[in-house]
Amino acid sequence: MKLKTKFSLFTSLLVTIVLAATSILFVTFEKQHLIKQTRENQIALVKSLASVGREALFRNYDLFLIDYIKTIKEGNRAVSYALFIDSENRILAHSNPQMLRQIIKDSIGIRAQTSRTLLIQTYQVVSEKQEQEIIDVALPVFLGKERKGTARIGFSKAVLEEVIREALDKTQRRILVVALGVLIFGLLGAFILAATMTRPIKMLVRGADLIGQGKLDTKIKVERRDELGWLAGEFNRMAERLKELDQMKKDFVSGVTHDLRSPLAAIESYVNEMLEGGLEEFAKTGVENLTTIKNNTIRLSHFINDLLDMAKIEAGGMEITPQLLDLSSLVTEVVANFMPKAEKEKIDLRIELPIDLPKVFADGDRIRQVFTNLISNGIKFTAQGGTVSVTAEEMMENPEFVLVKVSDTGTGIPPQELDRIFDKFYHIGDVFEYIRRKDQPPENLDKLPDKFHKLKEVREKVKGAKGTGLGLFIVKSIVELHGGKVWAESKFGEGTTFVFTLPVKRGKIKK
Amino acid sequence: MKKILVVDDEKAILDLVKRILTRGGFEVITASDGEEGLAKVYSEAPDLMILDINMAGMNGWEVCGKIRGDPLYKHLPIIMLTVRKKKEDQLKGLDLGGDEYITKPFYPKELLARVKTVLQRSSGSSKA
Repeated sequence: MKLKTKFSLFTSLLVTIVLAATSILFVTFEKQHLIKQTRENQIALVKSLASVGREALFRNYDLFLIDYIKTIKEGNRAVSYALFIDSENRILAHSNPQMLRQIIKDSIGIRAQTSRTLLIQTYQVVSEKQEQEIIDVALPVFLGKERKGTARIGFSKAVLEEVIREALDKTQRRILVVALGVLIFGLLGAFILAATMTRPIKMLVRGADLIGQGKLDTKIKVERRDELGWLAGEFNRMAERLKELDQMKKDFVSGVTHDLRSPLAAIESYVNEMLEGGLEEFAKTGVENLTTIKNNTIRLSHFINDLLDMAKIEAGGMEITPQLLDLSSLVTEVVANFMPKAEKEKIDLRIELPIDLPKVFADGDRIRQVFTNLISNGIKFTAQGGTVSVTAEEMMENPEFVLVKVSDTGTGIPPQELDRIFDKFYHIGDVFEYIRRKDQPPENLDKLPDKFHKLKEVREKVKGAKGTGLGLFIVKSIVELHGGKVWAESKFGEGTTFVFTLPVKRGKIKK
Repeated sequence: MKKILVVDDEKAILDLVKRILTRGGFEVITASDGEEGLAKVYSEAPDLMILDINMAGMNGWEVCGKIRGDPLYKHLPIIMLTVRKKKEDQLKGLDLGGDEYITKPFYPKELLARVKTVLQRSSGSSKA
């Protein structure tokens, strides 16, 4: 069932129940009220008869009393009789003139004549037509302390009930009309409310469907300040986020494609050259060609290894086998591998580790990878005459960790790029893009302050040795797998320090 | 001797293309990114340009667009040399005013032949 139908039905049901309950309660109270009022009216009528009777006795003017009784009888159809009895129990006035001057001897009459207070009696009268129930209300009349007579009025119970019923019927009819009106308005209201509620829901459904189909530019236009409006807003934000993710995926794919294809294309082009050139040409350029091919093969295999590591990390499948590790021998080993390159590029590569540095609990191969990536980055982005240094110390605030720093005096990283450098496929090429965006055309680099000169130099250097854009991502993942943290501190144009922590004891490793 | 400018951020490709063209009897100058390439178009006035597309900073599309927008150099013959194999990229390259579209990996003889064809075509049209 549709939400709109459900909502309408439910609201109608609710309105009906409330109306019915209200009506029943109202009618019940009205009935009680009517009964009470009828009784009060009866007593008031008898009281006024009594006071008229007292007046008549006082003035000795019976005719006035007879007239008044006639008025009572004619003015109220529930009155089946009305009479006034004097102190000798003789009927002084009666709605039935034939009864005048008679003495009443039936038990009801005697009781009425002897009661010293208001007396209400109910009794059956069997006439030729039908059986009738009469309510007899009697009130004694006193002058001083002397009883001077009794006022009595008999009411037909059937007529009284009919009067009440008629009054109630009228009330019920009125209630019915009002209830019908309310019901119609209620239903209409429920329907309109349901429609206004479900229209935005329908739009949400349609929008979500479009987003589901991949149309991520979809904007759901539900501008309301309620839950539905908020939901639409959330949907729109979700679509935007999905679009960003989609773009990231596209960038990722095109980045990977390009980085895989470039070295492959170089290799194949060189092979083509050698095949076309023949032996004579091979003698001249063969070694050079093969060296280029080898370099590109290494580059390709680096990239593929990094990609595989990334895939492992993404799948949560990278495992580490930590053991107690002497950092200084490991760092010395890695640095030794970089020495020839550092010397060639005239970069001072240093290790400054304290002798009493505690052993760390870590995976040797993976930590070697961390140092390799960081040192290689440091050398890559540092100009001639610069320094790359590895230092370590016990962490002051948390002695269960060792703090390791790999610092360089290289190009540095613009502050707004700092939190992106650990992202997958982030490239330093983007930093040059950043300079360009700052409206500093690269050909004017010469006119820039001194520190930008090394940026220009590094720029030339980096062009020939593009990285995979995965190194820092892998560094971060490995360090975090060990329970450590990694971050970078950098001043653009002056240098960068990568800092990471490694646990000293076992039990710090994330599983 | 015709002067050819090669723009590519891959040093290996740059070296190889330079060698092939030099062997083919051309004077070759190189640039390793878009900005440098554009600067050398103005400073060296080459007869032909071989242009990579995927480069950090100013890419090949932008370089091509800038040259075609310049009244002095809009007739400079341009050969796109790229790993982009997709038909739509090829069409975009030709749309932007590239005279020829060669994909990497390439064959040295084919590259040389195409360079010669493009040069002949452009000198023929400039004479006419």
